[in-house]
Amino acid sequence: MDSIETTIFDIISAYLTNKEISIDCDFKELYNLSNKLNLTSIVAFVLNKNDYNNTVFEDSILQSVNQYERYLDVRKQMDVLLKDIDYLYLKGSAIAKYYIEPYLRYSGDLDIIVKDKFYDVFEMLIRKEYKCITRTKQECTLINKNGITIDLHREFYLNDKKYEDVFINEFNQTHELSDDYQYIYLVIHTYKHISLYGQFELRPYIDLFYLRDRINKNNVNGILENVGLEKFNIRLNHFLDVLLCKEKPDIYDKLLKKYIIMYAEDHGAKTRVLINSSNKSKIEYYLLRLFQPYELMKYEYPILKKKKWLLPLYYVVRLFKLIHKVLFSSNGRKKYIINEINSNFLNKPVEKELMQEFVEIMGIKSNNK
Amino acid sequence: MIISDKYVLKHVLDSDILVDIKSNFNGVIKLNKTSKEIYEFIKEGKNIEEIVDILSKKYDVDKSVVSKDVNEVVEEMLKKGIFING
Repeated sequence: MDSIETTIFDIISAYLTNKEISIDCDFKELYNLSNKLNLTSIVAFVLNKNDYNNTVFEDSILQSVNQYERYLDVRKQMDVLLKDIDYLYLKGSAIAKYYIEPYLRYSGDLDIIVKDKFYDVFEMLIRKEYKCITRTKQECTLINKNGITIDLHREFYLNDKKYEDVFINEFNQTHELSDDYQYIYLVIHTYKHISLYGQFELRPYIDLFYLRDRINKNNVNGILENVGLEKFNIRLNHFLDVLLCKEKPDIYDKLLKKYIIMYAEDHGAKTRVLINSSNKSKIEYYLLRLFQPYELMKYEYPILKKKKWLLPLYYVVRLFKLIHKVLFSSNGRKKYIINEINSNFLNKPVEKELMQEFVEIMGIKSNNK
Repeated sequence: MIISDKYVLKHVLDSDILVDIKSNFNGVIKLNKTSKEIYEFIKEGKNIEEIVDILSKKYDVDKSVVSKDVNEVVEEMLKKGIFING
């Protein structure tokens, strides 16, 4: 029997290359891992295509179809409700249309960025009986009675003005970024998630697959070079070529696969520690987690953009919030925090060295200085 | 009789399914071949007699038998709110 980890990458390769595949694994374990990777529909699609009939996987596809059709209905309502407002659909809701079947991409939420009237839109949705689940000054999550979640963003939240400035003029009548800017957003968004949070996911490579033949490569490469992400973009495409069996995997591709599985297993408790501690001692790492650099704090607390002198106060605020989270959060969240604190990667020089090399090859710059 | 806008018909994994996009029901309703045909005929605006006539000719089956089956399917679909009398 093949390992589940090998099988999942083989299935994704089969999906991307449209080739047949023979699968010999425990389907329950396969379902669990594909769920953690948010790829159940795609795995189900490949299984069905290769005549592996499994009720659980089939049900997951039907659920995806259900959610996707509900999302389309909500999107029509949004287009009417927000007709006088500048907004953009982001991420899955914008990329799904490129997939063989859009429901294979849709993940149950609608990401909308509103240029100027964030609070107006928030109140419109509340009046339409959406319930607010979480809310900060920059974004909020609302849910309707059919379970469709809307993530409303006030800004692109890419943690660096040079990234956000790329999209400043991209609001348009179609309410979606052009193919070039979808691609650029995907690269920047993936970079942010890996470099800050150790979020190694597999799905961005599938998005990349559908986007990269649609773009003006000269234009896109130029913009990515301007924001310092050309090396990162090259490695993303290299890994995609490995998945497409066009390139042989090198040691860093194998590391990336390992990190993807690690992230899936514990939502990044270990990979976050690893990527942020690769060139630090244990104490340095903990101090930097508690006292984030100003560049990150100003995104968490926008008031700091204009009043940097309040930084010490907001460190205290953040410390209290962290203690509150530890004491009163869900068991899952507590487990994540404990895993992070206990992560033995802080003490494993070999793993840290490998991550340092990996970060260098990927063109990832350390955010914690 | 008309089709409710609560449902959307999709063809997925070799099955025809109706997706409820308006209520709290998160599942789907699978249609067999006959149900799907009846659904399409109602969508085209045909009434039950016309549907019975078409199907009995198509499958070379006695009208009384077809009528019983068609009425059963239509009743079920009315109960589920897939069809609306009007």
